[in-house]
Amino acid sequence: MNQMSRLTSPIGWLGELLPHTAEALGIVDRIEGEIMRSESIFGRERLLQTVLDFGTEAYYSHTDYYRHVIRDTIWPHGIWVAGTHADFLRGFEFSALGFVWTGFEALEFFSGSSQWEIFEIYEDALVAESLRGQFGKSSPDGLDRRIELLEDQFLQEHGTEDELFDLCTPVAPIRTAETCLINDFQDFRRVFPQPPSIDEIMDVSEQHHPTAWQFLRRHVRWNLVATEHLYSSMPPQSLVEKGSGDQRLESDSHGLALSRLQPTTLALVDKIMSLNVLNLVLEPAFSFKGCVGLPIGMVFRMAHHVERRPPLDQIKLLVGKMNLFNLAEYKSRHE
Amino acid sequence: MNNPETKNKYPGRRACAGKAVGRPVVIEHETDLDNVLEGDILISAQTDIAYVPAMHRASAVVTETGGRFSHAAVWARENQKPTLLQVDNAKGNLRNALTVLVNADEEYVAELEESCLEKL
Repeated sequence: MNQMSRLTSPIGWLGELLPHTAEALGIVDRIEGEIMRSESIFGRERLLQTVLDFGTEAYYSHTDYYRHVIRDTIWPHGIWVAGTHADFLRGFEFSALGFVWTGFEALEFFSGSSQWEIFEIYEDALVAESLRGQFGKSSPDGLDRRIELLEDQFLQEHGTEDELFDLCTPVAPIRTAETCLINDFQDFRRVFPQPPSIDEIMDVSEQHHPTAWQFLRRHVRWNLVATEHLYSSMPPQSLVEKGSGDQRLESDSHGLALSRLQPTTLALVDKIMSLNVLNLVLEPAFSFKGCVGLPIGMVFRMAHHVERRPPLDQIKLLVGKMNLFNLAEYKSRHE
Repeated sequence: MNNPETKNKYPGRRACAGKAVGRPVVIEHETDLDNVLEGDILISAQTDIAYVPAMHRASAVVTETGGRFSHAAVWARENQKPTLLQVDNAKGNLRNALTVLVNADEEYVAELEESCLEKL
């Protein structure tokens, strides 16, 4: 992946102070890289058309619908066994990759080029969501719970709430998905002053290709109707980027504060920051709310009426196999 | 801004300091986000990236959930928008209010008295 297309900028010397955070940023880049690779294999024009065919209602109700699936389904728990922080990051990446592959498998199905039946895709969607759930909000050892525990530890042993905010809130060069949306939309509008059609997206020059696709991938689930809506709904005054000078100042000031910490405090800040990167950068763009979550959500909608729902034990068994971190085996299920 | 007369105060947790007065708009679904106009108070269970344009239009944000590093909290600090988190049943309590005051400095949101509205 070239430097221009990164969701997160390289954190440079901060990586030496914050190795877990650097690893989390690496995970974000690798997940986006896998999505880019899959976009290319699937075919970008076909991708835009497939997503448009899902319809606008499905797009705008997606997050609510998916939340309802998460809350109303009995999921297998306790498959993931708590390990070190590095193990957690590795497991998170593994589950996120599986989610990407399942998302593209679903896209193949909906574009009519898959030999599989809906109940087979449904089983894979359940496995992918079950695995993702081991690391998410619903897990007693998931992302949110881990952040809470680490925050409490910081407040008890290392500093005040204000210090926690100042040290652990992502700052330049790390950008939350929300801030990234502003920057990416600015860039997209420079390429397309008016909302583009599929043909205009496909005709974009090689120079502007990464700009166009990173916006479509990260912020609107490849949906051109949602893109058009953003042109009218985003207040112009919000589209003001911080200058590179401001970002450098922010980064330098944060780096200075970090470099003055005791090693144990710095290690704790690194863990919290790394989880914040996954929660605030990766999750909004590439998890269930994001581009690959949409086709998986469509599988759940379609499979709602399927009678051949796999039993929970079978899903648990399949997720357990995935948990061996055998990426090759997992990936082979989707090829 | 002086504190105007208020009724029915609901406590919350400050994500970003500041005060704002405006029309409360309750978000139940993503499609409700277009109802948030410039200066309104956005009230929801939580926020995510789809809320960004509406959050920019709003003068303050109130959510029912959200931790120190939730999307709403981090966004509020990045954008210096008065924001309260963890306001119990904010959607239900404020749905029928005409105008509310978000006082993130003192960590509450309240309905404004009608007598106060006439002066505004």
